[in-house]
Amino acid sequence: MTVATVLPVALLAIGGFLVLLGLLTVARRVVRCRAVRHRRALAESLRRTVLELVAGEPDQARAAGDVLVQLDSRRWSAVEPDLEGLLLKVRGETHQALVSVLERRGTLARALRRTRSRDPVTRARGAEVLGAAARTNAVVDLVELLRDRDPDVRQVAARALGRIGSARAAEALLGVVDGPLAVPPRIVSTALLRIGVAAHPALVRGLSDPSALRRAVAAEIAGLDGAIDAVPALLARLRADDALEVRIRSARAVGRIGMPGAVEALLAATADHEPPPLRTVAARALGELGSPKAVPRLAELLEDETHRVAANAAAALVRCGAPGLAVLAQRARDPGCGHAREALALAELRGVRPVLPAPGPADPAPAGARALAGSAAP
Amino acid sequence: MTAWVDEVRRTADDWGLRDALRAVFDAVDVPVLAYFLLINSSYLVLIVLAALEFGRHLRRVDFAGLDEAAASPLTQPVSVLVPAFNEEAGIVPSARAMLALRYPEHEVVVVDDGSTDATFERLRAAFDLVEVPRAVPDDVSVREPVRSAHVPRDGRTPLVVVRTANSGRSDSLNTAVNVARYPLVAMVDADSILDPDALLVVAKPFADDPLRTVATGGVIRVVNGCRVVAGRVVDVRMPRTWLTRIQVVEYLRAFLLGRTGWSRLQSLILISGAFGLFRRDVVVEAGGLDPDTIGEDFELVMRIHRMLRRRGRDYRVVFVAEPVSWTEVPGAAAVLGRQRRRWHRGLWEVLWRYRGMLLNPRYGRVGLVAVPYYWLFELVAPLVELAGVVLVPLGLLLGVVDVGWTLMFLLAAYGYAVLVTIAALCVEEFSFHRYARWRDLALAVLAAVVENVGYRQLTAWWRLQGLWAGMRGRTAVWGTMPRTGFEDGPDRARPPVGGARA
Repeated sequence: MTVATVLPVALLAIGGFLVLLGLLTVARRVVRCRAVRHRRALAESLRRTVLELVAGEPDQARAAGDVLVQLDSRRWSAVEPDLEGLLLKVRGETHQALVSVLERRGTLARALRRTRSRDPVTRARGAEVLGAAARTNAVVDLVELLRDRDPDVRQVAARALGRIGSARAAEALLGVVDGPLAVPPRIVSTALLRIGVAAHPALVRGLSDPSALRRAVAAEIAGLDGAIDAVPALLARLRADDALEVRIRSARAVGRIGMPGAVEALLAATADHEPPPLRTVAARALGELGSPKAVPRLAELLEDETHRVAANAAAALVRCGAPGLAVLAQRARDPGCGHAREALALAELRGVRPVLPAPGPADPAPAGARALAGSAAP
Repeated sequence: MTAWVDEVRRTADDWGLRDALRAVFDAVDVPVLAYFLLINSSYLVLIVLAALEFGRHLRRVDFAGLDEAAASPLTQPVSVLVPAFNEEAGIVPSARAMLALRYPEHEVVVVDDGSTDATFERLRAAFDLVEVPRAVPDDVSVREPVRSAHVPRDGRTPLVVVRTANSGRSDSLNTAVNVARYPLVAMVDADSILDPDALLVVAKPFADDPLRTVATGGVIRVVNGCRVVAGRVVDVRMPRTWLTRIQVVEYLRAFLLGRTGWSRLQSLILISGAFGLFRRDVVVEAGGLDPDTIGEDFELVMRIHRMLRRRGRDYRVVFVAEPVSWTEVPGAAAVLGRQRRRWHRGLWEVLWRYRGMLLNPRYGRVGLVAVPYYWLFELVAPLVELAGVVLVPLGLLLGVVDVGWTLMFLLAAYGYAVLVTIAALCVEEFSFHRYARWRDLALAVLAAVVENVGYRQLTAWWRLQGLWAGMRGRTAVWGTMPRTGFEDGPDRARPPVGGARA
């Protein structure tokens, strides 16, 4: 076979494929445009009814619900995705009304069945609807899906469990942050946050889990959700956990929770021999506690060789109130202490009364900062 | 046959040119055909891979959890880094649009790279900037220190503008990396327009796989011809000139489909500087961007690959197909020429610097697939194409090649190239279908054909010039670019993979 014999065949093949691709492209556009128009028309005709369901008076909403439940399958399939989408946008009675319509119409039962489909996308869609509808009777099925072989299904199941807010799911959620079929920590954490106080016992237990990742997530969420009952365990983790990440998140957590008793542990965490990432977070957490007891150590940290430690110490001093601001004002005279000047200037912009040092010959304050000293104070 | 042609052929015979040319054609006809076949087939493979990826992405986009990410306090904060040199025309709407991106916590860091126009004054007036002292770490070394830092007087708007002496885009980005407070840094051109959810989507791989994901790239589309309101693209249309229309299909084929394909092969080695998201600690560990390289974004990704492979780390570099960053493409041939020369020069510099990765199993698929591909089909392509442009007419003139055979050869080679682009358009229609008008679709199809008549040959010539300049090591010149907002002009986007095919 020579080039000369191949070329005509190649040309024919190229021409054929060009025609095929052209036809496919045009056909796709025609079909999509028609489908969109058709669906829009159907949805438009039902828009008023949907509006009455979600924004009308109780009587109107009931009547609208009845109308929607009795729609023929063609019109229902046009409006069903919109109703499912609305589930995540409304709360309270309106949410209940929507759930009621979807339940009467069989959407929720179908969603439950879909969680057992062979197709991962179908499973995920089922889980998504169940979560949006906050179906407590789906918790067991959703917990099963936390170990699904498809990562997206696992993520959707975790989010759905968070929306349902069942305490029963907290333990299972924390359990899937690591292992071969894990769910990303951010997804699990957000779900646990949604569960809220009901998840606190699981978080406290999680702080003693053999898995460092689980302990880290438990610490993070305990802090974000203000789990006061977790403070003793958090302090223990901060002082002596084997994993640096757990200590860091415990430091952050006790700062967020704002327990004054955590000052000593946080001060210890800023010691020079501790790892810089921990010292960075501990300095910041001391600022969140705002205790004057932390001021001397934070003042020392202003000259720390790790930039973030010094920057956080300066910001923390602002939050310590007058004693901290006084230290900053004094240290801002030092040409080498840019962190103090930066923290003061930013504090001033946020309305904290400026305590700027008088500019000396070796320490010219920026023109903008000087101007602010006279103009930005409330 | 005219008399002068006979005369030319006689002279060529006397000099032995015809025999020599015949020998050349005998030697190269099959290899050249194979080259055309391979290069276009490789694009087709990438497009098929991209189509599979889009299919998967679109089926799952409804439950991607973007709304939750947008509201979660656990979403990793992002610093958006914007180097700006003489961007007075568009810097304010650009900064406003970036501040308005849907994301739980992000800051915008603008580095005014010694602009000689009113870039800084426009920013100061629009955001009521005041100078503040700023302690900037030296995590990444920079050539020009920060002269001053400015923040909005309200103390709440998360914008920082720092001023430096002019030191180029890379050095400005390094300064911005130092100024950035957050663990993820998005490198964005000042004239880029990001879709509202761009940050959320491009950051999603970091949330899904936080330990392994080190960089993600977003797709770049052409904004010329589109309607832009308040820093947002609200109506996608084809541009008015053929030069820019051709670039639309070129970007579609290369940026959208090519890179998606490479990402699926886990071998993405180029993230456009116009829109890329990186882990800050990894950028710092790699030493930041190299201010001496003209292909600084490409170089950074290659350096990250090399560093992480050498250290045996498990990592991912991911391309995200939607949503997008919109960028202006050159509307004038002279500007396009400068752009392509610079791109190809950058390609040469980076490939040459990292030649040790070529076919080196230590670097996995990157070394065994992606880097050889770039050498063979990106770097060498203009040489092969231009050789064809010279040899084929010469062969016809001297009667060395058969006219019918040549015509078929050209039809097959360029027809296959058109087929590849039409396949890309088809995939776009099945997936994102951003161009809603029938007229735009027809223009895109026409552009796919017109691209092969003059445009490809011209860009091949520019690329060859860039390659030559790079090999000779001549000083790289960016040139100045007057900007007029969202009209034709700029040339900052990075080279598209397959942007100038043989």
